[in-house]
Order: sequence, then C-alpha cells, then structure tokens
Amino acid sequence: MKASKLPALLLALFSVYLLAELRSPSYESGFDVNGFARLPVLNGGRVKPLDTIARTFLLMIHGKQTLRSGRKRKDAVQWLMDVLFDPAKAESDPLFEIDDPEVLGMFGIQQTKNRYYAFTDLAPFAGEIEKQAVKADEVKPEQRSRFQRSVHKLQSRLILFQSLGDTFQLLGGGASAEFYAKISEAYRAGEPQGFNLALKGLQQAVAESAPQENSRAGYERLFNVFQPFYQCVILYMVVFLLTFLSRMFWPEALYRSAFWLLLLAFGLHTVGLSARMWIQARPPVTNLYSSAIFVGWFSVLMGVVLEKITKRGLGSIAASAIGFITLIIAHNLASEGDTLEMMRAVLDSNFWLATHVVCITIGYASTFLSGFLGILYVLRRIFDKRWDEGTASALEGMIYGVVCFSAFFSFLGTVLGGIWADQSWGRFWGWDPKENGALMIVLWNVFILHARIGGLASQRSIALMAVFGNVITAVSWFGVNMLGIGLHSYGFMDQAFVWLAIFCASQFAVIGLGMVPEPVLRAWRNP
Amino acid sequence: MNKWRPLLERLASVRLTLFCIAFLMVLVLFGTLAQVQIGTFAAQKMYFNSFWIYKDILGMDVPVLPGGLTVGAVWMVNLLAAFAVRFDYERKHLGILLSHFGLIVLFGGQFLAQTLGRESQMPIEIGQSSNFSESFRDMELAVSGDVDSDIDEVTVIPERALRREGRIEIPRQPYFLNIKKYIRNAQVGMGAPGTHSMATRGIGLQVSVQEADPVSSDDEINNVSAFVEVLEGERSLGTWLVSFGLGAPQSFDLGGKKYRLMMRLARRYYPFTLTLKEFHHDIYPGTDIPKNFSSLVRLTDPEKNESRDALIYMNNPLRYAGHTFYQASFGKNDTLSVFQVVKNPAWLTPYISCFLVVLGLGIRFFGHLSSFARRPS
Repeated sequence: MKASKLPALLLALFSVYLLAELRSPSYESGFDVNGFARLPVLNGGRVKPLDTIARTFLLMIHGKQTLRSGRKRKDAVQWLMDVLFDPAKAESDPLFEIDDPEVLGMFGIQQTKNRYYAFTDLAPFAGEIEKQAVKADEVKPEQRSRFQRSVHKLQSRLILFQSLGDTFQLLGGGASAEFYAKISEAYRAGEPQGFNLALKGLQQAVAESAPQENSRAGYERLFNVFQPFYQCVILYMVVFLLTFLSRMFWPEALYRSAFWLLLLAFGLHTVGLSARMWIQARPPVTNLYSSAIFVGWFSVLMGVVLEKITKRGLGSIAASAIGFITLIIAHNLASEGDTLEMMRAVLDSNFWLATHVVCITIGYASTFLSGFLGILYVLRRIFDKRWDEGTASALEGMIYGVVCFSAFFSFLGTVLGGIWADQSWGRFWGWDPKENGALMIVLWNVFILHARIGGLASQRSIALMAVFGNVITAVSWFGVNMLGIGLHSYGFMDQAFVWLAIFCASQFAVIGLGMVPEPVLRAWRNP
Repeated sequence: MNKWRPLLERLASVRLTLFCIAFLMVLVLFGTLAQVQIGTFAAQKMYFNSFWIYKDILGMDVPVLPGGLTVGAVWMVNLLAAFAVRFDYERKHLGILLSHFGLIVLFGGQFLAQTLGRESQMPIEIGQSSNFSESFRDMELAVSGDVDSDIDEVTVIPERALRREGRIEIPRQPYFLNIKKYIRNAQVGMGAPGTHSMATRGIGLQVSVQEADPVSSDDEINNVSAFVEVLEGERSLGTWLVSFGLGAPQSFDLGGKKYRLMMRLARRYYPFTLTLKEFHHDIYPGTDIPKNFSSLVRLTDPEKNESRDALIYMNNPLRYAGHTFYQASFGKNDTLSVFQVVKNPAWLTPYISCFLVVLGLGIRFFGHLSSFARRPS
C-alpha cells in the first residue's frame, strides 16, 4: 500500500464506523425497546425521551449507563422497563455500589470483590440507613466523615430508585394513561405483541398532542445512542498518536492523516454541540458539563486554525490533547444528573448566556491552549533532538498570539459578567469567588503580555508563564465551585478536588522541568 | 515638567504595572480563600475595600499588607503616569490608548462604587407599602415618642455611637440616654438575669444575657444589645436591656407622653414609597426549579409627581432616583417580597469602560493576529 493513500483510507474507515454507530441497537426480546426509548415525557421541567431518563437515573444510581449482572447486560432503557413494569426483577439487580467497609459493617457484611448490591439485599437495613443518613444530613457536606458521606450517598440513591416511577409525566392526556397501563401489563406478562400494540397507540396519542416535542425526543434518543462526544474522545486519541508518530515514521502521510481525522473529530464535536443547543434551545454553555464540552470545542477550533497557519503539527497535538482531556472531564461531570437541565431564575437569560458565558469560556479555552503550547515548548526543548531557535521562537510567537486572544476574551467576558451582575443585582463587582476566579485569568494574561511587551521576560519564561495559566484557569473553573460559597457556586465536589490537585501538581512539574538551565540540558544531551 | 520627568518615568514603568498585577492577584487569592472563614461581606471589606489589611497580632491591629484600595491607587498612578510620559499619541497606538483609558474609567468607577455605594434591603408584604430600606447588619437604637395619634417622633442612635458607651445628649428631648454597656453580639435567653445584668426595668428583668463571639458570615447576624439608662436631668428612670433579638419595643412614660425603645436594623428613608401589588414565583412545570420571581410594585413620589406601576423581575431591576431595586428574596409563603436596594453613583462607568477597552484591544490584537496569519510559515 502506498503511504500517500493512507489519509483517505483512514478517513473513510472512521466515517464508515461512525455511520454504523448511528443505528439503533437491536434487542432480541421482541419488545419494541427502541420505540419505548424514544417516547417523550415531562421530567425536570422539560420534555425528554424515556431513554434520557433511563440513562441519567442509571448513571446517578449505578454510576454507569449500562447494567451488568454476571454475563447478562442491560441497556439503561431495558433496566427502566424493569423498574417501571416489573419491580421485582429490578429490585434483584446488583445496582448499588458500596465500597465503604464501615457501611457494609453496619449490615454485618464483610467486604468482598463484589461491590454491587441489590435493593433486596439492602431492604432489611432501610431503617438504619435512613437513620444514619438523617444524622449525616445535619453535618455540613464538607465536614462529613467518609462513613457519613457514603451512607448519605447510598440513601439518596435508594430514594432515587424508589421514586423513579413518579418523576415523570406522560404527554397526551387520559388516552396515554390507558395505553401506558396496557404496556405495563403486557410487559409483566411477557407478551411482546400486546406491548408493541399498546406502545403504538401511546406513540400516536403523544404525536397528535405534541408533534414537535415528539420529533425532538426522537432526535435526542438518536443523540444518546450515537454518543458523539464518546466518539470524539476516540478520534482525538488517534489524532494525538498519529501526530506524535508522524515525527518518526511516514512523516507526510501520518501528519496528513492526523490532520484530516482532526477535522473529522472537530466536525463531530460541532455536531454534538449544536445538537445539544438545538434540543435545549439555549446558547452552548449552560452548566459545568457544557462548559467542558465548549472549552474542548473552542480549543480544537483554535488548534485547527493554528495548524492550518503553521503546519508544524503543534496545533494538532495541542488540540487533540485538550479535546481529549476536556471531554473526559465532561464525561465525569455527567454523573450529576441531566446535563440539559433547566436554568434557574437569574440564569434564565439567553442573552447573557450567549455573551458573558461564551466569552468567559472562550477565555478558558484559549488560556488552556496557550498553556498546552507552553507544555510543548518545555517538553520539546528537553526531549526533541531537532529543537532549535526557529522552533522555539515560532512556538513562543504562537503562545503570544493565543495569550492576546485570551486576554481579550477573558476581559470582555469578565466585564460582561459585571454588567450582568449590575443588571440583575444592581452591583457591578462584588469580589465574589467566581468573579475573582475570572479576574485572576484576566490579570495573568495581562501580566504575560506586559512582561513580554516590556521586554522583561525571555521566550522560555513566557512559555512557563503560559503553563502556569493552566493552573489558574483550572482553579478558577473548578476550584471555585469547591469553595461552596458565593452566589455562583454549583455544589461541593470532593473527588474532583483530588484530580484538580493532581493536575496542578503536574503543571508545576512541567514548570520545574522548564526551569532546567541550558548548560545542564546540554550536558545531559551529550554526556 | 523636566524636573518631574524622571519620577514620572519611574511611576510609568512596566515593572510597576507587573508589580500591581501580581500584588492584586495575591490579594484576590487570599481575599477569596478568606471568604470561606469570614464570609463574603467581611472578606470584601477587609481585603478589597480597605487601604491596609490589618491583622490581630498580640491584641493589636497591625497593618500587614496594603489593601485593594491602595493597590488600585498605585495602579491608577501608574496608568496616569504612562499617559503623561510613556504612551505615544500616534494613530498606530490608538488601540493602546483607548484600552488603557478604559481601564482608568473602570478603576475610577469601581473606587467610587466601593467608597460611595450602599446596599440595603426592603422587605414588603403584598398590599403593604414601604418608604425605607434596612441595613443587612448595622443596627440602630430607636426611641419614638407620640406627638399626636398619627405622628411619631423618632430619635435614632446609630450603632457606632452606642459602641462608645456613656452619656448621649438628645436635642429637643426631655431625656438623656446613658449607654451603660454595649454588647456586639449577645445570647439572650429566658431565665434569671444573673449578677452582671444591669437591667432595672422592662423585659431585661426576666431574661439572661451572655456575650457571644461576633459573627461575620453571610447568613448570620450579630444580636446587638445594650443596657440603656434613661435620665430626666439627673433623675434616673431606670435601665433597660435593649436587644435586636427581643423584637417588640419596650416603653416608658415621661411628662405625660409614652416613649418606646427598640434596637432595630439601621433604616434609610426615601422621599418615595413602594407598594407591593403582586408577587409571582414561577416554576418549571412538574418541578420545584424556580424559573422566575417577579414583583409588581406601585411607585409613588409626591415630590416628583410620579405614581406608576413597575415590574421588578430577574435581570430587570427598577432604577429610580439613583437607586436600583432588584428582586433578592421572598418569604412568608410567597406573600413577602424582599428587594435589595443598591445606591451606586458610578453604575454607568463599567459600560463605558467595557466599550473602550474592548475597542482598544480589538484594534490592537486583531491587527496583530491578521499580520500573524498572513506571515509565511
């Protein structure tokens, strides 16, 4: 095979793979599971398909979007059907993860490899769990002990499980309720034909009363099945590897393959982002989850533009790395509930979401991009044998350009935030933690610019300062939410804190590496 | 001019700019972390709305670091000096000039807002009217006496006057007050008054008072209390315990008139009145997630001949007579609406500054970027 055909071949291969992923899954049971999954209902203030409810609840209760017990594997929607229509079956599924030995000890169970327990296992201890959870509830979340946190979590998951059937409303009025009862009966009796017939009736009733919501729910199910961001994660990983390998083998063919696949991934990322915007009828960033999606998207966009201009592979590497990491972060944030949640009172403003929030998030994205270019600067200076003055100043030039860009957007975003605050609270600036976080990013970018313009920093220092920008951005993006105070906070996240600390430590390690002086480096290269 | 030039050049240096930025970042970091301990309001006052940050060392308040106002002032001098001696007034530097001028406007506005701005709240129940707002934490001692059946004459003693303790002369009134003891935060409970109580009249004879540590977090309030002796000339009418936590006023008679004593949140009266006509608390269907809060009020200002309805809702406050009224809270089963009242004489400056800086940076950076993009790789 000629290496020059490789890019086209890889692109075709991945496109076929993606098209295949668009198909609805097939189920053997004979029940029209896909039809059921598409059914729109009202929950959490918006109309969504049952599939979304199944996935978010299973994720919140079980921590995963599929349920495995032994060799059997249940999709979220199959699990939901059991919960709604055949509770006895659902109650014996190993659903609840308990990894705290003290909680298990309370039940007189020794910790084993098996971390998952069924509702029936826990039912005898329901009273005790509730009692302990009520006690834990009286302690502030950040002051709870490990046991208190675990038992509190377990109790809230048990409540979610038990209340699932009451959390949504059918569309289409009285006729729907009748069909729904028939669906339930047929399912319990194991009669696929009766189930499918009643489901058809229900689908028709819903489609007549709410045609627009009905078709939207169908698309949302498709979105859920396709999982565009999951596919992006795979693609970004491939792009990263190919770009990296292109420095060793088939430079031209691998480099071009990587860039084409980067474009494909970016296209897919764009489709996913737009689909969310369309389903929700909102600007792209409405909560922490969507901010991660958007930070990734915008960084990749800028990476692609940089790559197009400079053609050195640096844009591709940085773009794929940030795209990959931010989507992984988003994936982990999704376990908090429906990621397309409704906007609370003061946030219910498309104008400010589209201006302030988008600018701030562009600020995050571009500061991260400059930081990753800074990391590349440090790593290539140490490990790349072809590192020279030209590469160094090209990279530094890119960093400077991106820092200008982020200074502009983070300033604009921060001031627009102040103006929003003036519009809604009558004050421009209150030194609230989230405001301070945004201000830190502005100040740091401005610091870098002035250090460079004033001729007070070398190329390498500019790169290192850009890396430090990663720390500031990560802290203001996530750390502020961990403070749990102020008008802006989203809630306490203890696990995320560990990851944030690891990330910051890694950035400081890179800065430390970057500070290795030139003579030491030369001695290491030519011993 | 020449004599001053070397000094101005120093003041205009980029080094000083970097120093200001770095110092502000340190302040922001500590000021944010401090909010966990002492609350947003107290941290803001201590770190940002101060010239010096004091720390308690061996019982003395020692200034340890310059506060936000000092850093802002130095930065402002740096900027002004840069305009005087550093910047080139040429067309190609228009971006720099505009954006830095915008910063001067921003800093100046924020300085005015922080020093002259006032925040208070106005709770109104449906059907009721109010012409005053209350402080969030500052108290005042109010002594009201009947003039006739419709009019009360109210004398108000602010908390900082109580703090000094001792005798307070009140003009045009037949009595003096002697503040025997001021307690910043007291725990008042039912029970025997104990030996350290000074009360000889009123409810103070039936309750116990204990000093507690002052609180500063955003959801707590100090229960400001005082033992107040009322004197007519040299004759003492008795000593009362007045405390914010007591709620209802206590009374005494003097010269055939009835007077009432009460510790309450410091009030600010306005020449206009707001009447709450309706309050709405909208939720998303099938949930308890709030979608909107809105209050329909009647604004009456006899002086300016205004009498009209205004709707206050999320992201849409009422601006009137230099004050902004926004929907802050609600209560009593949605029959009470609480407005935050903000007086900020510099509220327009961020809008102007934002426009100038963004225009300036836009001219500067996008000029750069396009030349960067056109450059051969």
